[in-house]
Amino acid sequence: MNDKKLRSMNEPLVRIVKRDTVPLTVKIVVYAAAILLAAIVTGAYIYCMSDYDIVTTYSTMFTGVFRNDITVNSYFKETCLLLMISIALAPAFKMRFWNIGAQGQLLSGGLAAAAWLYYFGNTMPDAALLPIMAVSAVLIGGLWAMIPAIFKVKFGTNETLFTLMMNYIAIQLVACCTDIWKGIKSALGVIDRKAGYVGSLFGLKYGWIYAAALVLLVVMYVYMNKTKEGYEIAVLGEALNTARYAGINETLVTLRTVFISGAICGLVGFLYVSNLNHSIASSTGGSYGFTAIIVAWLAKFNPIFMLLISLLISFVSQGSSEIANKNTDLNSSVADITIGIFLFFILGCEFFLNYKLVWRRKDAAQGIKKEASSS
Amino acid sequence: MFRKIVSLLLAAAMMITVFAACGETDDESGATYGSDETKTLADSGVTYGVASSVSEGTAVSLKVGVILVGDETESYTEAHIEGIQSALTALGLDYTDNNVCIWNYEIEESEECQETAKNLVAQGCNLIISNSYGHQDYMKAVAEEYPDVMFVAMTGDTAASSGLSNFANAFTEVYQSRYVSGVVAGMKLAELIANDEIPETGYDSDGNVKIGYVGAYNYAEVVSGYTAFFLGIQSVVSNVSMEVKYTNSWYDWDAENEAAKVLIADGCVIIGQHADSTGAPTAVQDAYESGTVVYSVGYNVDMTDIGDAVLTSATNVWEVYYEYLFKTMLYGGTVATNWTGGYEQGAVAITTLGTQVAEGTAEKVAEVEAALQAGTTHVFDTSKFTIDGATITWAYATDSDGDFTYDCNNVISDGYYHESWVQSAPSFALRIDGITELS
Repeated sequence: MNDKKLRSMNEPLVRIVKRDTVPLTVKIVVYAAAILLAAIVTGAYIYCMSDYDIVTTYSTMFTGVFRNDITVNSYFKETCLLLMISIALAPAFKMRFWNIGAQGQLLSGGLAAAAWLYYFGNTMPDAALLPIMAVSAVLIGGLWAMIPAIFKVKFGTNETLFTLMMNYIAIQLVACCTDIWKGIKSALGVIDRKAGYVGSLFGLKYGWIYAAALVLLVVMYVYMNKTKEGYEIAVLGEALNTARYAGINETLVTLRTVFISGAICGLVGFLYVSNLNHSIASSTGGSYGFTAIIVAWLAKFNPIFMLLISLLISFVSQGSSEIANKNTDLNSSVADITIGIFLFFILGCEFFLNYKLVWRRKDAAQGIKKEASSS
Repeated sequence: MFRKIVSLLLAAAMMITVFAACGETDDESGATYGSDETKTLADSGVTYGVASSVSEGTAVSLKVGVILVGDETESYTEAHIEGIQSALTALGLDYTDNNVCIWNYEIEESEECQETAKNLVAQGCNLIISNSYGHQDYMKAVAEEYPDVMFVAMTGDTAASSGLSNFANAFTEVYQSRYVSGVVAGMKLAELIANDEIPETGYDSDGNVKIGYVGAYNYAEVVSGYTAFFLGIQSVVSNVSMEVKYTNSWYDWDAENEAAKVLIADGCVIIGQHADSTGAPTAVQDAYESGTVVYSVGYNVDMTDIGDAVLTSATNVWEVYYEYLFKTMLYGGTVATNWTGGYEQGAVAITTLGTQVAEGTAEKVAEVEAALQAGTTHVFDTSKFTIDGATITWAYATDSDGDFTYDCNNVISDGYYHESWVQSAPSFALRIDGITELS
C-alpha cells in the first residue's frame, strides 16, 4: 500500500476544519438559511401543538407586532431596551471580561433612581430630581459592575461567577427595599410622586428610550472602533501579553471598560423606573440581562448586527405572545420556546461559519474497498 | 468607514420612519348588543347592585380583557374565571371567542400587569378587568393613559380617590359568607363540646376552645374576614379564642400547609383560612386522619374533596358582579366606581357542607342567611364584640391621605359597623378581644 491509500484508510468520514476568512455573501446566506430554518421549525412546532398552520402562525405574529401604534411602540421599546443592554455588554465582552451581571447592574441603578423618586419625589422639582436620578443610576450601575472588576484585577477572581452572583444580591436588595416601601399592599405598585417621571419625546411616549438607544448605538460604535480606548479594549481582549508589551495599563482599562458597561445598564434601569414603570420590582428588566449576552456575542459587537438581532428577538417574543393569547392550546411559555429555537439555529450556524466540514472523498473510500476486495 | 456611517444613519432614519408610520388604534369589532335607552347608576359611595338593575341601553360593543394573577389551578382565580365565563354565557356571549374575551393568566402584580393591560387596549378591548389587589396601581396608570377604555381592579380600593371615571373597584360582602362559615364551624364545636370530644390541649388557660386561622396578610381584607368568621363561631359557642398566623402571600401552598400544622400543634380545633391554596385543609385532613380532633373551613371553592375534615368554604359568587358589569357596559351605562353585594344580591355563599357537619347545620345556615339577607342580623354588631374590654361606638373607614391609617368617615351607627359602606373593599381593621395575631 502506498502512502495515499494508508491515509485514506485512516481518514474519518467527516473532518472539521477551521475556516480562515468567510466572505460576506457566504455569511449572509448562512444567517438567512439559519433564520429560515428556525422559522420553519417554529412553525412546525406550533402546528404540532395547536391548530395553527405556518401561515396563520406568522400572520398572527405579524399582527401582534404591527397591529397599531400601541403594539409597534411596545415592539420598538422592547427592542431598544434589549439593544441598550447588548451595547452595554459589548465593550466588556470584547475585552474578554464576561459580564453576566447586566441584570444586577440594571437593578442597582434602577433602585438608586427609585430611591430618589420615593423619598424626594414630592419635595424636589423635576429639573433637579431627574438629573440626580439619572446620574445616581449611572454611577451605581457602574460601581456595581466595578466590584467584580476590582476583585479580578487585584485578586484574579473569576468575573463570570462574581458578576452572576452580584445579580442575586441586587435582586434581594430590590425585594428588600420594595418590601419597606410598599406599606400594607401586596405589591409595591406605582410610586406616586409629583416629580421624577420622564415624559414623552417628539410626541412619543418612549421617545427617550429610542433616543438613548440610537445615541448609544452610534457612540459605542465610534468608541469601540475609532478611539484609543476602544483599541486598548480590543488588544486586551485579543492578547494580554501584547497589551502588556504595548504598555497598556491593564487595570485601568479593565476598570474603565467595566464601569462603562455597568453604567449603561444603570441608565437602562433609570429609564425603566422613570419612563416605563414608575416603580421597581425584582423582575424589572426581565431576562434581558442574559438575552443581551447572546445578542452582543452573535453580533460580534457590531452595533448594526446588534440592532438587527434585537429586532428579530423582540419580534419573535411579541409575536409569540400574540399566538399564546389567540390560541387556547398554548400559553405564554411559547415565547420562550420560540426564542430558544431561533437562538439555537443562529448560534448553530456560527459553527458553520467558523468551521467547515470536510467529507472523506468518495473515490478514496472506493479505493480502499477495491484494495480490500482484491487482496 | 464612510459607508458604515451612512448605513448607521439609514438604520436610524428607517426606525424613525416606521414610528411615524404607525397608525391609529384600530377597533376590532366586538360583540354588540342592546337597543336605545341608557341608564346611569348612582356613582357616589358604594353601589349595591344586581345585573337586573340595568335596563336595556344603547348598542355598545363589548370586548373584555382579563388579567388574572393565577390560573385555573388556583382557587381564587378559578372562582373569577368561572364568574366571568358564566356571566358572558348568561349574556349569550362566547367566552372562548377572542373577539369577546381575551384571557391573560399568571400576570404578576408588577409592570407585567401594565404591559398586559396596554396590550389588551391595543387589541381593541374596551373593558379590562384585573383580579388581584396589587394590580390596581398598574391598572390605574393605564386607565389614565386610555380614558376611553373601562378598567376594573377587582378587590381594589383606590378607584374613588383616583378621580378617574374609567377606573372602578368591586368586591363582594364576603364577610357575610365568612360569618356563615363560622356558624357551620360553631355548630361543629358545640357538638364536639356536647360529646366531650375536645382534648385538654384544645382549651386555652381561660377555658376557651382554640381556633386557628391561616391569613395571607395583615390587611383589612383579611382582618375583616377572620373577625367575621370568629363572630360567626361565637354566635353559636361563646367560649372561643382565635390565633391568626400570616403567610405573607395570597397563594403559597407550602407556607399555608406549614402555618396550619403550627396551629394544629398548638391545639386548635378549627382551622379557617384566608389564603388561596388547599395547603391548610390538606394539613388538617392529614392530622384528622391520624386521629387529631380538628376540622377545616376553606375559602373560594368547594374543598370537600380533600376529605372528611373539611366542613365547608366561604365563597364569592363573582358572576353576580360580572353580569352587572358586562350588562352595564353593553347597554352603555356607567359602571359603579365602588360596587358590592352580599346575600341580598346573591353575591356570596358557602359551598357544599362536608360529611362531618353537626346535625341541624343546614337548617341553622338557612336561618342565619335569611337573617343576614333581611338585615335583622349584622355581622359586626358592636354589642357582640369588645376592644380592650370596651364596646366601640366610633370607627373611621377611609384613608384620605394615603398613609394607610383611617382618618375620616365614621361607619358605626345603629349599633353595628357598616362594612363595605364607603368603599367596596373590606375596611374592618379593628383588632377585637379574643383574637391573637401570631408573629
